[in-house]
Amino acid sequence: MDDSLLSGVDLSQYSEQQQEKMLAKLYGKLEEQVGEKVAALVSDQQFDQFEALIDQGDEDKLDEWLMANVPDYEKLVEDTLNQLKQELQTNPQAFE
Amino acid sequence: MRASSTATAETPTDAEQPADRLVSVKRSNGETEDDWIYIGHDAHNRVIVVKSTPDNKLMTNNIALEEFQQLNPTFVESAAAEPAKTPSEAVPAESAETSLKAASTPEDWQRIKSEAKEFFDQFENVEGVEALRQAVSRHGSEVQAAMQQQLEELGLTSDIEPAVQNAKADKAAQLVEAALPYPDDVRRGDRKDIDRQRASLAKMLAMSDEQFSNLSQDWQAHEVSTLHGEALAEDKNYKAGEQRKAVKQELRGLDEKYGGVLPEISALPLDKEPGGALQTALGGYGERTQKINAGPASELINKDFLKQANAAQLVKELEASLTEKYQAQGLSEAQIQAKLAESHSSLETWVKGMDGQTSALGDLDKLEQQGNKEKMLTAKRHKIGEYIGSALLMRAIKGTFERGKSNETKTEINVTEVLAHGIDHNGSRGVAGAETLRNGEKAGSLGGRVMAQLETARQLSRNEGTLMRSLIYLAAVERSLGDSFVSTWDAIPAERKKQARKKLMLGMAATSSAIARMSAKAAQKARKTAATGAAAGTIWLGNVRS
Repeated sequence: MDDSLLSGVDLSQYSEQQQEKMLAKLYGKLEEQVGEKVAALVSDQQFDQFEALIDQGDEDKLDEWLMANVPDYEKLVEDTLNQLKQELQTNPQAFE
Repeated sequence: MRASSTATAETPTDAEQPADRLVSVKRSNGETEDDWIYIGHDAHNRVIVVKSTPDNKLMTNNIALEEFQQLNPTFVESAAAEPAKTPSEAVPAESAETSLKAASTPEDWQRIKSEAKEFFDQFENVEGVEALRQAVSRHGSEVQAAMQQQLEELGLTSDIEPAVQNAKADKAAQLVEAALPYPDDVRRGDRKDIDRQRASLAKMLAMSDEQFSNLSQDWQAHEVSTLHGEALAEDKNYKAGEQRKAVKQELRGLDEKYGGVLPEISALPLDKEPGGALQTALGGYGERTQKINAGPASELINKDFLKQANAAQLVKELEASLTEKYQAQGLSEAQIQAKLAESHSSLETWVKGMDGQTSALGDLDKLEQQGNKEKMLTAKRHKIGEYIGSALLMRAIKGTFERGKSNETKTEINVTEVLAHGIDHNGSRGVAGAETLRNGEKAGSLGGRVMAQLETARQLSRNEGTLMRSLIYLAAVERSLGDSFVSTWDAIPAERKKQARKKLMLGMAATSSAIARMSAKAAQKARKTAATGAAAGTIWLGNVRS
C-alpha cells in the first residue's frame, strides 16, 4: 500500500476483503483511542457546547470547535494512527 | 452477527445426492462435515445447506457466505454457473409434511417471514403468538399427564405421544380461529386474507422452539436491515448532507456580503412584493447609483460623498416605509421610534453591503428560500434518524421473542459498546473509515456519515426513554445481554452514560475531521511532488537539447 495515510503498512499477503476488514477494525480502534484521549482534554461544559453544535448540523463549525477546544487534535490522531499502523504491521492477527 | 441456525425434521431415507452439490460445513463443535447438500442463499446472503441424519431427520443449517467460500473454494463457481435446484428437486418428494419442510428453502423462509410480518404488523402484539404457543404447549403437557394417569389406572402401556400431538394440533386450530375470527360482515377477499393469516399463525404454533426462534430472529434482522437500508438509501439518494452543505455555503456568502444582518432585515415588515415600496426604493437607489457612476469626475465632485448620501437616502426611504407599516399595525409614536432605532444600524449595514448593486431584493428572497431549504434538509436528516430509531423500536418490542434465549446469559454492560452499536449497528462507519484511509478522496463521504451518526446519537440521547431504549435494547439482544437489560440500563447513572457518549462522539468527530485534513495535506503534497517532478523533467530535457 503506497497511499500516504497508510504508508509503511504492507497487507499484500491478505485478500482485499481481509484488508478491508482489518482497516475497518483499525479505524474503530483509532476512534476509540482518540475518543479516550480527547475526552480527557475536554470539560463537560465544552462537551455540552459540542453537542449543541451537533444539533445545528454544521460540519464546518464542528471543525472550528475542535480546533479551538482540542489543541493539536490532528497531531493526536496522527500519532495514534501511526501507533496503530505499527501494531497492525507487527501483530496483524489482532486486527483480523 | 447472527449465529448459525440448525433445525431438524423428519425425512425418509436420504436419496442419492449429486456429488457436485455436496459441500463442507463447519459445525459449532468445530468439526468439519463434508456430507451437506447445497440448497441456495437466503435473503441475508447466507448459504442454506441440508443433510439427513442417521435417524432419518432432515437437518438444515445456514452459514455465512464468507465461511462457506473458505471451506468450499471451488464449489462457489460451479454453483453460480448452475442455478440452485428447487426444493422439490433437492429434497425427496415424499418428505414429511412438517412446518420445517415448508421453511427449508430460501423462498419459503422469505414467504414465512413476510407472512409473519403481516401478522405481527396487524396485531402489533408479538407476545400474543408466544402466549398462544405456550397455551398449546401447556395443553400438550396436561393431556400427557392426564393420559398417563389414565393408562396407569387401567394398567395399560402405550406410546401416548401421537395422542398428545393430536391434542396439541386440535388446540392450536381452536386458538388460531379464536385469535383470528371472521368479522360478521366479512367479504370474500377479506376471508381469504384471514385464512392466509390463520395458516401463518398455525405454522408458527406448530414450529419447534428453535425453529420459531430462528424465524423470529431472521425476520427481525431482515426487517431492520431493510428499513435501515431504505433510510440510508434515501439519505444517499437525496444527498441531504451535500445539499445542506451547499445551502449553508450560500447562506454564509450572503451573510458575509451583508455583514450578517440579512436575517434581521428579512424579519422587518418591508413590502417585498413586486412593485412594492422596497422594490421602488431599491429602483431609485439603483438609478441614482448609475447616474453618480456615469456623472463627470472632477475635483469639484466627490463621488464617494454622493454614494454615501445615496445610501442614506435609501435608509431614509426604507424607514419611511417601515413607519407606514408600523402605523398600520397601530403602534404608538414612541414604539415606532424605538423600533426604527433598533433596526437603523442594520439597515445601514445592509445598504452598505449592497455597494450600489440592486440585487438586494433577490438576495433577500434567496435567504428565505435557502433558509427554508436548509430547515427542510435538517428536518429530513432528523426524520431519517428517527425513522431508523422507530424501526429499531419495533424490533426491540418484537425482540421479546428472544427473551427466553437471552435470559440464559447476563453480561456486564459496556455502555460505550452498546451506544456505538446503537448508532451504527451495521458498522458502516468503520467501513467508510477504512475506505478513507486507503483513499483520501472518500473523506467527504466519511465526514457526512459521521455527521449523520453524530446527529442520530444526539437525537437518541435526548430521547433515551423511547428511541435510545430501543437501540440499546437492540444491542442487548444482539449481544445476548439478557432481557433484564433495559432495567439494568436504566439503573446506570446518567453521568456514566454521558461520559461514554462523550468519548464516543468526540472520538468520531476528531478522528474523521483529522483524517480529512491529513488526507487533504497528503494530496497537496503529492500534487507538489508531481509538479516538482514535471518541472525537473523540463529542465532535464532542456539540458539534453543544449
